[in-house]
Amino acid sequence: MAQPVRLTIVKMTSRGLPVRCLEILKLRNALTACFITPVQPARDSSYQGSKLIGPPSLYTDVEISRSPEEWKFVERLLPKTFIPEPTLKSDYPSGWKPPTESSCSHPYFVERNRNHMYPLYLKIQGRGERKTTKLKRIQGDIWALHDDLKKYLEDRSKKYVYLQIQEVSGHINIKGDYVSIVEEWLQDKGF
Amino acid sequence: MIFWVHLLNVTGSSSSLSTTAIMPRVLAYPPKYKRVQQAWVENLDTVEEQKLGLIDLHPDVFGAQPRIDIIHENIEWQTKYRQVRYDHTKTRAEVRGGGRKPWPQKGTGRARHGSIRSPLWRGGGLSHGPRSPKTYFYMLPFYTRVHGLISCLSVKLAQDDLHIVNSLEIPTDDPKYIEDLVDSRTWGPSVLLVDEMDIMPRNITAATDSILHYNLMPVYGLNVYSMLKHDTLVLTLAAVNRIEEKLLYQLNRPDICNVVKKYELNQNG
Repeated sequence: MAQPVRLTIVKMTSRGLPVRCLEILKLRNALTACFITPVQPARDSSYQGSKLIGPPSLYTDVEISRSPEEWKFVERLLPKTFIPEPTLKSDYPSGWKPPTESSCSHPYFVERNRNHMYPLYLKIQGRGERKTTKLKRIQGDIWALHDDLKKYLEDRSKKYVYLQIQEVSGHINIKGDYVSIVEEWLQDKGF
Repeated sequence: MIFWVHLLNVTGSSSSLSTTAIMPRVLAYPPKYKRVQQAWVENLDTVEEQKLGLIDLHPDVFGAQPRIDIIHENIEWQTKYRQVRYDHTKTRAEVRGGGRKPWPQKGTGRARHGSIRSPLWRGGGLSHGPRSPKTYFYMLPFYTRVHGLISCLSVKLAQDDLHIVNSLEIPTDDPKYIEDLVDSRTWGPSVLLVDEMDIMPRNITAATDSILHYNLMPVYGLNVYSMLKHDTLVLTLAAVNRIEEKLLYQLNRPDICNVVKKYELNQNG
């Protein structure tokens, strides 16, 4: 098994071709079958994009493990492909509240986003001059939501609040920074 | 190919398919506060419609808000992005001749000119004419395209233009069979049949080959333009599973930043 591997490497170097990391990756399986060799793992996907390989002394020794019990140490570091459901608790230190059943009793509904957070964002434009609070993912009667929310905001802030409804996309824009106040309103409603 | 032929023989005759029970579907990412959509599963074995069962469909895919503005954007993109214009005109530098000053600057009493091929002259070059080849390529943001598909599927279901069948197996390869079937069920003039794989059963392929308004499509070819161009959309159960799996993954994946970054207008961050 070692003989053909060595020949290939010798052939490539003798032809004057620079040995790329990707080529070594292809030969690595053959190499490891006979002895553990220090090889740099090929991270680039193209032959031309791969760095030229240097002498083995430049690279750290790598132990290639073939036992599934050891793989769990790497698997637990890999990112998940789905967002897990939050564990149910009575109280969370961050102040996060899960949606409650009372959210279904209104003629409108505000859905949580994929990270289980409120679809509430602050848009800052014009070098900090203009602040807009944006509430998204509104379903149902958006006009009823607008009326309720406007009344709540005007009671809390003691001044006229400008709201803009975008019915087609289910958004409401509020002129000013009302993020924390709208968040409290959403929590009261149970969304 | 050999494996596929074996599979078709194993599934048996059409009669066994029509009596197959439809298993209830388990939805991925179960919806908590949205009403589940439902649809009948029909058959293609007989001209008369037989309802084989009722299945659940995910509301995020088949019951989403119909965003007609997003559907319009998708159709516009599908029409425009592959357009290439080949019309071409020559500029004053490319038109033959016109290197010499036609007459001296002063003294002749005529207007001053530097070349006989300037845009002012008859036979001269065009300064702002079409320059070939001109491409109108652009990419719509990733989630605009995802929401386009979702809106279109929801619209089709809401307007009774979506039908789900257990499989695309039909008893004969006669085009008249399909025509009679579509007429008796009052499906639209044009029908788009979508299956999971791009290898379709022999009979349906032969039957729909001569009819240009009945088209077969694999799941990876599903697009807003085709769904709207054809009046009726017919999905197989396997296609429904695949479509839901793919679209729900895109709607719930944690790494959207990586996906969206490629299509941002300002690539400098």
